[in-house]
Amino acid sequence: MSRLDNAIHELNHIEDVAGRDQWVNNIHPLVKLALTIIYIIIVVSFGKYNLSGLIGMAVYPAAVFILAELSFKDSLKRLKVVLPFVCIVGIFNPFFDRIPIYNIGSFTVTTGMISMLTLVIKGVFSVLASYLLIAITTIEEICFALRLIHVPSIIVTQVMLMYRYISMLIGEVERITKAYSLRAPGQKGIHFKVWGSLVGQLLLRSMDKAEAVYESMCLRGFNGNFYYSEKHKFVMSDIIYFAVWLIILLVFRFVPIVRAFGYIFG
Amino acid sequence: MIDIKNLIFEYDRGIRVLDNISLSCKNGESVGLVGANGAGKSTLLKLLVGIADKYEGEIKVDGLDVNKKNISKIREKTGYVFQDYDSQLFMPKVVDDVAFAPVNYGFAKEEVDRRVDKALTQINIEHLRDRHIYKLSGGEKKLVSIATILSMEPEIILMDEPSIALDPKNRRNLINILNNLGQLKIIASHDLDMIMDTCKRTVLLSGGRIAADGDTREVLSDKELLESAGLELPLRLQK
Amino acid sequence: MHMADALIVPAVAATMYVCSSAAAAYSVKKVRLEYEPKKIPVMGIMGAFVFATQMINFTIPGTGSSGHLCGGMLLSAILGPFAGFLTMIGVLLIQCLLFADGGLLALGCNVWNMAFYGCFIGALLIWRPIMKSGMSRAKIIVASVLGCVITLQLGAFSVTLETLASGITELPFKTFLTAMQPIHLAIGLVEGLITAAVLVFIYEARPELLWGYKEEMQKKPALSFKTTLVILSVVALLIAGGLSLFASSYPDGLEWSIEKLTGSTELEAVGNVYERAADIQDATALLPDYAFKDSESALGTSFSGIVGSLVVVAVCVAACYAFRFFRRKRSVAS
Repeated sequence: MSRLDNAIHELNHIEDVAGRDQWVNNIHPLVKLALTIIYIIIVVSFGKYNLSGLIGMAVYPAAVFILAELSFKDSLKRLKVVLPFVCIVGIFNPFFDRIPIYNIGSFTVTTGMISMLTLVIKGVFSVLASYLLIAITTIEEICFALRLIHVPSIIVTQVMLMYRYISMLIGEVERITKAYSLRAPGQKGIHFKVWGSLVGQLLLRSMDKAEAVYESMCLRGFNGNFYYSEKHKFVMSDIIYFAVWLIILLVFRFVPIVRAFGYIFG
Repeated sequence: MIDIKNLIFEYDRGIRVLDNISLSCKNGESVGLVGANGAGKSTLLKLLVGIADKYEGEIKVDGLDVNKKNISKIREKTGYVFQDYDSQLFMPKVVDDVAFAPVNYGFAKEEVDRRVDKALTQINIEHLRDRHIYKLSGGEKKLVSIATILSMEPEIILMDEPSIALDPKNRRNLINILNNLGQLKIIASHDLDMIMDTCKRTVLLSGGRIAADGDTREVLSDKELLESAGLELPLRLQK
Repeated sequence: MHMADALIVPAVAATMYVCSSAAAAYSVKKVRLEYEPKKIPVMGIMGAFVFATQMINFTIPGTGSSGHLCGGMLLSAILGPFAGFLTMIGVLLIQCLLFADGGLLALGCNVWNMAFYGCFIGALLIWRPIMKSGMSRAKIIVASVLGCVITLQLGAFSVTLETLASGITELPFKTFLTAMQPIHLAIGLVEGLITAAVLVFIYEARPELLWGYKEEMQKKPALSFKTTLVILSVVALLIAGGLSLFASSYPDGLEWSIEKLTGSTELEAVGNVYERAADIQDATALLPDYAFKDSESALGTSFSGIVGSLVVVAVCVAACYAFRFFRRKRSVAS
C-alpha cells in the first residue's frame, strides 16, 4: 500500500529538512509559529475580488523558500490534499456571480472568476505557509512554542507521544495490510469481513503497547509530568526577524503595492 | 540484596505461573535466569518491581518488602530493561529519554546532566545524544534503553531478553557492556551463549519451579536437565 | 471533511477557536479530575493508532469504492469523551502540520466539526444512553452507526455554515447544504459500520477496554439482537425519509441551478462538462437524481429516500450476519 510508504517517507523527509542547521531553522519556534499564523490570517482577510493585493502576499513564501533553501517541488504534493475541496467550493462562483468586468478578446472575465481565483490562491498560500513552518521547525520545537503560550501540557505531551509512535504504528499497519494483500490477491482494500478483526487486533496490540509504556514510565519515577530538554531563548535576531516580517506583511496588506508597480511599469 | 521465599504467583483464572520459588542474590552478582517460553522468567522480574502484584510468599529487595508502600523506594534502586525497546523509549529524543528518570526523581539540572553524560559514556553512545529515537536502529535503541536505566544509577539491574533481535556485532557489544556493569544483574534470556558470557550463576526455571540453581557452566552443560526444561545445550557446547 | 484555511475568514476562525478551546479547557479539567496518569500514554498511542488506521482502505461490499476511518467515535468509545476529545485535537494538529490536511487557522473549525461532535455528542448523547443498561453487540452496532451518521451530519452542517458565514462561496445556503448532507450520510454510514466492526471485535475480546463497560451491568437482560435491528431500521428509515424530503423541498436545488446555467450561451463549455459529469453520476448512482424521473413530488423523493434506507438496512443486516458468521468460524477454529 503505497500510501503508507509515502506517509513514512514524508515524515522522515520533513524531519530531515526541519532538522537542518540553518539560520532560519534556528529562529525561535514561537516567532515562526506566530508569523505563520499572522501570515495566514492576513491572506484570508483579503476581499474576494482583491486579486492584485493577494498576489503580493507571495512575497513571504517566496522569500522563505529561498532563505531556507527548500525545494518548491516537495511542497506541491501537499497542495493536493486541500485544494480539491477548495476548488469544489470555488468552482460555483463563476456560475452564480457573473458580472462582467472586462473582455480579453472574445472571453469575458466575470467577478465570479476573480473570486474563484482568489480563493484558490488563498488555499495555495496558506498551505505553503504551513509547509514552510514545518519544514524549518521540528515538531518538538512547535510543541515547545505551544507550551510557551500555555497550551495545556496534557495536549502537548500527547502530541509528542503520538509523534513518537506514528511511524511505528504506520509501519505495523503496513505490515498487516501487506500480509493481508499477499493472501488476498486482486483485492484493492480490506474486505468487510475482516474490518473488525484486522483493526481490532491492531487496537489491542496498541493498547498493550500503551500498557507497557506506562509500566516503563512508572519504573522510572513517572508522576504525571513530562520535561523536555528543548530550550530556546529569544535573541535579538529573533525579534528583528519577527519585526521585519510583520512590517513587510502589513505594508503588503494595507498598501496596494502590486497596483503601484502596475502604474509604474504600465 | 534480593530475597525471595516460597513465592507463589497465579493469574486470575488460577493458572499457577510461579510455584514455590526461593532465591537470594547478593550485591554485585550476575545471575542468568533461563527457561523455556512461559517458564515464568518475565513474571519473576515483574514481581520484583511491582508491575505484577498479588503474590503469596515473601519478596524482599534490599531489605524492603515489595508492597505498595515501599514500591517507589524499590523502583528507585532498580533499573528494569524491557524486552521491547519501543515500550522503554517513549520520548522524542535520546537525551530526553535518558534524563526521564533523574528528572522525575527530582534531581537538579546539573546532576541530571551529569547522570545523562555518564550513562551515555558508559556504553559509548555519546554520539546518539541528540538523535531522534524513532530513527535509531534496533541495536542503537537497545543500547539507549540500557542508558535510560543507568542514569538512575541503580543498585540492581533487571533485564528481559536483552540480546533478542540483535545482530552478532551488537550482541557482542552488549555482552561487553554488561560485563562492565558492577551492579547486581539478573538477566532473563534463552540466549544461553550470552548467559555463559555474562553470568557466573544461572537459575533454571521450568514450569514455574526452580529446576537448578548454581554455577553457569555446570547448569548449562547438563544436557538432560536442559532438555527436560525445554532448552538445548548452548551452541558452543554442541558437537 | 477537513476545513481549509482558504475557506474561512479570520472572524469565523477566531469564533471557532474560542468554542473549541472552551471544550478543550473543560475536557482538560475533567481528565485532570479523573487523575489517571495511565491515560497519558494510552491517549498518545491511541492517537497514533487512529492516524495509522486512517490510511487503511476498507472495501465497501457491493461497490468498487472504499471507505476510511475518521476516529472520533472510536476514540471516545475507548477513552471516554474527554480524553477522546483531547486525543483528537492532537491528531488534527499533527494532520494539519505534517500532512497539510486542514490548516492552522482552520484548526479551531476542524476540532469543532470533527472532534467535538464525534466525542461529545457521539459519546455523551448517543453511546452513553444506549449503553446505560449494559452492553451488547447489537447495541454497539446501533450506537456506532447512529453516532457516526449523526456526528458527521452535524460536522457537514457546520462546514457549510462556516464556509457561508465567511462569504467565500456564492453557492446559496440550501444548495450547498443539499450537496453536503447526503454525501456525508453515505460517509457516516460506512464509517459507522467500520467503527462498529472494530468495537464489536473489542467487545468480544477485551470488553473491559470499552468506555462505560461494567461487568455487573451485563447480567441484566439487554435488548435482543432482533429488537435492536428493528429499532435501527425504523430510525434509518425516518432519517433517510426526512432528509430527502428536506433535500427536495427547495426549488433552488443544485440541479435546478445548473440546468438554468446550461441554458445560457456564454458558459456552454463548462455546462457541457457538468452535463457529462451528471451523466456519469446517473449511470453510477443507485437512485439517479434522488427521485423518480419526471416526478418532482415530495412523495417520489421520499420514496427514493426510503428505498435508500432499505438498502442501508440490508447492508447493516448483511454486515451483522457477516460478523456472526465470522465469529462462529472463529469459535469453531479455537
